[in-house]
Amino acid sequence: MMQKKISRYIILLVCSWACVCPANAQEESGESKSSGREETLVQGTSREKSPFIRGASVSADIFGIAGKIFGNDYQSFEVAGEINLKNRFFPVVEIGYGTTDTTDDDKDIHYKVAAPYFRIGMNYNFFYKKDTPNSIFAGIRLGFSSFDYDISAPDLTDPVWGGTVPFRYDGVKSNAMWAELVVGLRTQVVKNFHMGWSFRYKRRLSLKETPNSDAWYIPGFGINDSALFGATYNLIYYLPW
Amino acid sequence: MRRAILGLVLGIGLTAWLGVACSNTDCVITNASYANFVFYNEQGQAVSLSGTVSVTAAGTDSVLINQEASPKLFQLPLSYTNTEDTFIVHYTERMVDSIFVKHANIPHFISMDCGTGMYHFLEGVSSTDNAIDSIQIINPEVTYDAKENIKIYYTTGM
Repeated sequence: MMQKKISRYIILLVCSWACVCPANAQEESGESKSSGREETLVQGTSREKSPFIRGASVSADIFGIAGKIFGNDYQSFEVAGEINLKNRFFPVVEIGYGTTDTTDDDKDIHYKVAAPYFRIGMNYNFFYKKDTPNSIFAGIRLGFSSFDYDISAPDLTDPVWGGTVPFRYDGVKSNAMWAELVVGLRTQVVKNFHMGWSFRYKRRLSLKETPNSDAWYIPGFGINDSALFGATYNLIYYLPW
Repeated sequence: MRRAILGLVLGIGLTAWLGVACSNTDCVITNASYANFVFYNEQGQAVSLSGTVSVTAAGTDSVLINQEASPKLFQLPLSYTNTEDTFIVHYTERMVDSIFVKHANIPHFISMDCGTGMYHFLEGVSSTDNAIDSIQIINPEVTYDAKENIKIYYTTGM
C-alpha cells in the first residue's frame, strides 16, 4: 500500500514538472509575461531602489482536495496568503480544513474528524536576484489544529477471564502542533497566475493524549506519526501591486 | 543559479535523511497486555523460584502458567471487565499463595493497522503469606511495554 502511494506521488511530481516546463520554455523564448512581482527587479544595468514589500499573493492547494484520488483516506482544502519582502523572504499564513470519515476494512475501526488547521511560516526564494517569475524556495512552518474526533471499533473480548467491552468514543477532544520543512518551486503560467508544488517534511511537536486513544488523523498534519512527508500543489494568484 | 540548485538538493537531501526513521508499523501479535510480576528475596535481590510453578486464574478454568521451571517472573493477563482479579500460585500440591490485584480497565485504540486492545491501571495489590513475604506495585500502568509492574518479595528458601 505504501509503494502504491509512493508511485502516485512520483507520478504527480512528474506531472507537475510537465506543467512547469512549457511555462519555462515560453519564458526562455522571450515572451514577456512579467507579473507584479518581478517588475521591480533589475532593469538594464542599473538596479532600482526597490520597496521593502513588493507584493502579495493568495493560493489554494489542490493536492489535498484530490487526496482520495491518490489513495488517501482523508482530504483537505487549504488556502494561503503570502507577502513578498524584497523578493527574498515570503512570510506565509496557511489555513485549511481537513476531514476524514473512514472505516478500516481489516479491523472494522471507524474514525471521523473534520476540523480547521493553521500554519504560519516563511519561504526563502533562491532566485531573489534573478529577473524571472519562477522561483525555487525553501521554508519552515509551524502548524496547529484543535479538533474533536469519533472512533469506534468492535467489542473487545477477554480471552482469559471472559466478557466483552464496547469500544465507542465520540467527541474526543485533542490538539496537535507540528513543524514543517518545505522545499518547492513555482512557475508563471499567465500574468499574475502561477502554479507550483511543495514537498514537506513534517515533525510532530505535541499531541494531546487521551485515555482511550490517540488521534489517528490530525487535520493539516496527516496520519498521526512522529514524522511524515507531505506535498502540496498550489494555484497562486499574485495580487496587483 | 548554482546556489539555488544546491539549496534545493540540500533541502531534499535533508528531508530524505530526516525521514528515514519514520513510519514503521510494528504491532504486537495478540494485542494483549500483561502485568509483569518480578521476584526478589528479602534482601531485594532478583531471584528465580525453585522447582516448577503454575498459576491459575481464580473463578475460571484457565491455567495461565503451567509448571514453568525456575521462573524469574510472571506475565499475567488482567480481566477486561472485573476490577479485582485473584491469581493462585501453585508451588507444590500443598503450597500455594493467592495474589489479589485491583485495577482499572482502559480500552485503547492503538492504530488502524494494529487495532484496539486493553490497558490497565493497577490500584492495589495484596497476597497471602505462605511463601510470599510482601508485594508492591512499582509501575501501575499495564500496557504493551514489558515493564516491571509488581515486585514480589519471597521468604528465604523459595
